[in-house]
Amino acid sequence: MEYCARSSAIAAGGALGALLRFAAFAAISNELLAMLFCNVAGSFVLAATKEFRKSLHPNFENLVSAGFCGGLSIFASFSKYSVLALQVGDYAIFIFNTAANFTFCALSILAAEMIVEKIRQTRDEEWKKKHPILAFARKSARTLLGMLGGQNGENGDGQK
Amino acid sequence: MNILLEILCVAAGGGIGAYMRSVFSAKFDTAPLVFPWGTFAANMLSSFLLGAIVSLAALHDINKFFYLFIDTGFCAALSTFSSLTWQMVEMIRRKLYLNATVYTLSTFICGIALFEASYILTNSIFF
Repeated sequence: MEYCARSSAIAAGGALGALLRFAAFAAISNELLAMLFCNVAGSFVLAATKEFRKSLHPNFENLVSAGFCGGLSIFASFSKYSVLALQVGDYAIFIFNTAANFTFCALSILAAEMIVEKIRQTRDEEWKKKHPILAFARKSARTLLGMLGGQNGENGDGQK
Repeated sequence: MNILLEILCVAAGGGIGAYMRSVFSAKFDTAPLVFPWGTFAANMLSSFLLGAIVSLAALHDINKFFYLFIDTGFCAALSTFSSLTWQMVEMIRRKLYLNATVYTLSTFICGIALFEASYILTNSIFF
């Protein structure tokens, strides 16, 4: 039963990620930019999910990380565009596409971790007094996470 | 109606592809910071399949919905760039520079090689 729930969550996340990628490719006329957007967004969301892992229900975490992020980001098309660029001798596009995807995805992972660390700092009481509106927003987000079935409820937070 | 069918094909292919990738990961990513064989295998298989599909589409009229299911749905969701980059960053963070280099380069080179190989193979079989 647990295996079915986990598999369904991953499949559902994969379907959603694939649909968002489909929409991105329809909306962005340049296919390379669309692919870059999907890969960067997928990497960002994956890193953020990994950081919040302990606050999330395992099936929700699987839906987002294994399902959604994997469905959104795409390596197969990256290979395709690399080969097509090499076939026509467009080495500049090949190098730019490769460098941009790896660099911006790595940067988005680091950015996600930095942002999550900043969010963690909002637990500090002094910070809450200085930023009451943001503190309220954070509390609302944690309540929502709790409703989604977070394991640790109000006390949980992603820890390394 | 057409757009609904397209969405269904992409979603179905995406769901199946993501599930298969999770199976690969569960079975073969036993030492993800040494070499994530599961993610590697999923990326290689999808690159190979995509090469075949792209070649077939160039040679014959493939049903649009089937193409969407296999290309935009299944192959794309089977592969993953986000996990590849995350694993690479984790290896670098833990100072496993050789692992990171070997993993990234092998995925990059083998992915391109397999796409090209299946493209040429499909061309030679069906042309």
